[in-house]
Amino acid sequence: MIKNGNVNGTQALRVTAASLLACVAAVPAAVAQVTPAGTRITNTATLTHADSAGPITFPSNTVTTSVDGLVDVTVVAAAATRVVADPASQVAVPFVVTNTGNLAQDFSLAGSGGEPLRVAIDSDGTNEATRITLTPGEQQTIFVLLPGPVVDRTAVTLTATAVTGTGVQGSVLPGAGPDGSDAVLGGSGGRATAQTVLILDPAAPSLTKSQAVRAPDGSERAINGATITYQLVARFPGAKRGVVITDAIPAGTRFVADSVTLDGIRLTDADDGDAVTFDGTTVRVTLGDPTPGTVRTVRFQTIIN
Amino acid sequence: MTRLLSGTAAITIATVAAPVLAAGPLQVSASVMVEAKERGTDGAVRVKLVPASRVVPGDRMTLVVAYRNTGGQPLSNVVIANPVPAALMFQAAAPGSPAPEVSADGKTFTTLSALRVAGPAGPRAAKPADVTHVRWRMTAPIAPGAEGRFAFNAVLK
Repeated sequence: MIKNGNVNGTQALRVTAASLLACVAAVPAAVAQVTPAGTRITNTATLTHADSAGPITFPSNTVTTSVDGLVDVTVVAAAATRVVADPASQVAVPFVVTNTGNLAQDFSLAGSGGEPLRVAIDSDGTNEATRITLTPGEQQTIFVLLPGPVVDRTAVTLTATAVTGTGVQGSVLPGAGPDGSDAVLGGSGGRATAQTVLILDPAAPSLTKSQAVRAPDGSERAINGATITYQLVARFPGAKRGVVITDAIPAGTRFVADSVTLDGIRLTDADDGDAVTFDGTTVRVTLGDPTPGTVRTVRFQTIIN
Repeated sequence: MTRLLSGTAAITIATVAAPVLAAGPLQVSASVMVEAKERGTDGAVRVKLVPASRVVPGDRMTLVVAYRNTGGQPLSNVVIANPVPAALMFQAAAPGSPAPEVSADGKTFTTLSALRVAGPAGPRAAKPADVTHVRWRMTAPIAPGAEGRFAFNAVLK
């Protein structure tokens, strides 16, 4: 296993800030949330004036305004770019769909990577989701599943479309609100898309492991007492930092003390400052910061019990 | 958000046509308007205020209070107050209207820049969204026949 701390996608986070209000008296504390469709807003002014009998207060007329349904949606990619370590396998690309309207709303989901792709609510694709229902403000993570082999620079998109309807902002959807009221399309126009570009890391390191068996009888049979020589070849096409190779000794074998070589040079097992340690179960080789083009070869031996 | 109104997409005005109330000679009426874009016959799009019969979250609204002295005597010490409906977020005085005094509790009124509210780390300067009530105090008496209006902008949460 090669560990390195160098490959990271950029994470885009959507933060919803609730404004804090310090209301004490008549008006209930309000947080910044979307007013539900069907809410009736009433407004009444009061007027006070003083005459010889003292102050007189009375209300104005009351104006009532109904809140219509708002159909709106956002789709946010978890990352703008995503480095694919294993291009041969299926890749699950995550997106977050949010109902930013004020109505419970069905959204149809469509994934694409140049051609239609499956979408699911889980990364292994067990539960496909071509249509979801979200309450106002509700979010759902959706995975677009791209089967391997993955082509470099593939743009994977997820599009969420309000089933109620789409169109230009401000369009009225008759009867789409609660109790037969109308709904209005918000800034998304009822449809939103986000994209993640998949990148096959040309600088990704590779590690190849091979083994050679030599039995006490001179054969290559894996029998009791046979010695297995493992060879690990690590290649670094691009620069990496803080690289460590770890390899656990297989069950049924015992490690041959001080058998580790790095590029042909024998190094002790002790944690004594050289690149190799063995802690009783795992060989650990510290390679530091390889430069582009570096190839390091590690060998060690075990004996079959 | 503003709404684009085409010539055919007529807005249904559901505003309750309440009678104008009066206390003696002083009339006061409230109205709630919303910004709407209207395409004129010349194709140009203009923003105008229409009665807010249909609003959706994000709409920018204007709350108007109009007054008129219908009597024969000047009226003094007039105060017009308007609680901000809970679903609305106060923004500022509407263009052309004097700035109101504002309050975050309906009791203590001052200018927005001077208003302070409780915060998690002690009192802090108030933001427009903190405002729950507005009022205008008229320093000069309202002469017979005089009228005027105050207005503020708010956004539907």
